[in-house]
Amino acid sequence: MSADAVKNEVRAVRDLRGAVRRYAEHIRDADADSRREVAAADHEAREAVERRRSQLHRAEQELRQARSALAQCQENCGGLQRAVADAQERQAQAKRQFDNARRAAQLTSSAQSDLLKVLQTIDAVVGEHSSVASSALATLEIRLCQLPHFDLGAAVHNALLGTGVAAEIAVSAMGISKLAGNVSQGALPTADHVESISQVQDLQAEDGQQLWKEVELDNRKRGYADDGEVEA
Amino acid sequence: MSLQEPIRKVESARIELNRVAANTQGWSDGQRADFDNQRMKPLSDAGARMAAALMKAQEQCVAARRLLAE
Repeated sequence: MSADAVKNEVRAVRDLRGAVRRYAEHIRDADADSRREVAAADHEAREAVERRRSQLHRAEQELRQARSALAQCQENCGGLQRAVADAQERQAQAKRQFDNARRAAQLTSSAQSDLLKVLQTIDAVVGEHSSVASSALATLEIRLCQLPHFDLGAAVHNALLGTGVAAEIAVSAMGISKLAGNVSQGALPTADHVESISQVQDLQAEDGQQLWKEVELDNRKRGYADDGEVEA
Repeated sequence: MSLQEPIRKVESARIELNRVAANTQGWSDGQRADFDNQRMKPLSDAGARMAAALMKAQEQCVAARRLLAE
């Protein structure tokens, strides 16, 4: 695998990892917002029920008073009869509004209950899969970041010694393949993969070229910079 | 009260996740397909279910508001 190919892999993994992280954040934000919004709607409907219950009680009381006054009336009772009719109308309207508020509260309560059940499942699914995916991608990214300097180093090494390049690149590619297999299962790299990297390191250690050490040092510095970027 | 913003947020998050996933095909194609099926698809599907549940809740809340306005 060429250095450019490895860089592209690293970039792809980093982009995907960032996308998974942002996705989980947006889902969490939307989850919190929707819980708050539905709770507010339910609270508003319950308040309306209580407010309209009070209005209904008042209307019923006014109707009882109007009927009582009419019952005591002996003559010229037209005004009291109209007062009773008006009170009956207001009571009927208050009753309709109270019933509507109760139906509204049932709807918001049901909406809240149904939504919370779904959100609980979503939380679990997104939490689990984003965590495993992020962890696996982070591991893959770290391992991939180790590969370019083997390939880059191998290129320098080849220029000096003219040997070993194909073997090192093959081992590096094998490492990626095994690691990708582990990542797809959401698992950490196996000892097999680490062993393949170690084999490359052993090959390099044997050469002991000063130039190679300088390349290693330079790559370590870049590695630290990458780690800082990942953490940031 | 409105769930429009959470719905928009979930749908745009899904679109972005699927876009990046489609544009970052790499390593072994077969292994990547496994990763997409096991991790990326459940994530995207969860967002779709969440958006559907939010839309249903939004309809119920709109109906409730209509009742309160009568």
